[in-house]
Amino acid sequence: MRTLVISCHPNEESFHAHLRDEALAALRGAGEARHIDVYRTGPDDDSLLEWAEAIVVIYPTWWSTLPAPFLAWLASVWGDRRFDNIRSITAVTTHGSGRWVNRLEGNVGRRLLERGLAGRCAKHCRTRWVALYGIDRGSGVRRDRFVARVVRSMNRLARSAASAGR
Amino acid sequence: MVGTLPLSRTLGRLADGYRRAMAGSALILLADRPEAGCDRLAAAAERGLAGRHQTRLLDLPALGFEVAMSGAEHRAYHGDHPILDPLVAEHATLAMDAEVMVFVYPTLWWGPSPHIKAWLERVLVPGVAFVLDDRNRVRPNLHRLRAIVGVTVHLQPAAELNEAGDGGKKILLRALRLNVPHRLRTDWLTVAAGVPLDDFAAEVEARMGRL
Repeated sequence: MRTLVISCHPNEESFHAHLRDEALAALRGAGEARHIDVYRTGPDDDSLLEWAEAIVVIYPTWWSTLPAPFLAWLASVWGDRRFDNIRSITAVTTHGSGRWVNRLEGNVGRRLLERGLAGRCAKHCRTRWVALYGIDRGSGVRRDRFVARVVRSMNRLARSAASAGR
Repeated sequence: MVGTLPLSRTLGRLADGYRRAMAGSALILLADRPEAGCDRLAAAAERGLAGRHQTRLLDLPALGFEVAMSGAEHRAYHGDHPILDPLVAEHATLAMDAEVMVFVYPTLWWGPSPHIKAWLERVLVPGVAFVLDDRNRVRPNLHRLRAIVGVTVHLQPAAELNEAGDGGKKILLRALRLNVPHRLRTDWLTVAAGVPLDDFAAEVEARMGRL
């Protein structure tokens, strides 16, 4: 399966840059993967949306949802189009607050991706949610465990793609 | 001379002075798109608020407000000086002083326009919207705020919007509200794109006049 990783973080030395690198390494070990960095991309990257069969979005949850540059990218690059070639969406995100606070706030980012974005992909598009809550109070051990969880999730994604291709 | 004025005029002047001194500040945040016509709605909100509030309208795209938090800003976020941009510092002062915040934008992708979202991310940082206590817990810091209002033009069809909900409304009326340490008033006014805005603008002006 052709997988497109879309990441969004201003700092290359951040935990999210590390997550992105680990996810890309796992995906490239099992198949074909390409990458868009929303912070450092132009509007020409829409051709990759036509190329992809699966997308993995990696972003920090700020104010309940995706960072502003990601929203700007969706509005300007994805636009109103529908991509029936995309059959799977995996969201990898971190939250400063806990799971229950996010639920109270309405899980805005999750609903945008699982209901909004998925509705502009293939019918029956599969969605996966891989989230670390309470990162601001978390220890390094929790972060390490989360990285391992992300890698496992990418491996599963690659395996499911391989079995779907047989 | 005040001493020679009739009592009613003296009292009237005193009342005017008191109202001016007590007028709260209101902040209108605008991020428009040409097809939405939100600038007319922001102007209507400004007219409605003008009688009772010292109102400031911030047209974020026109001001050149950056949508992306920079790497330097992100590194500074949890430090003692999280604001680096003078424009952001000015807006942070206005935000902390505001008794009313009105957000005017077109709804896109089930959420607020990127400029409104960027304003929350870059302006309402630690020390402005909230503070962290000694156990690193978030504590609200918008002590003066007493009303949050949203005025939106839905650029998405209603059926599509219902699929994932109105994220902007949740962010502003739930997440932002958590940064206010007391009860506050909220109001949310929406109109579908393509509907003539005259009646809606009049309603916005009237509702703002009641705040």
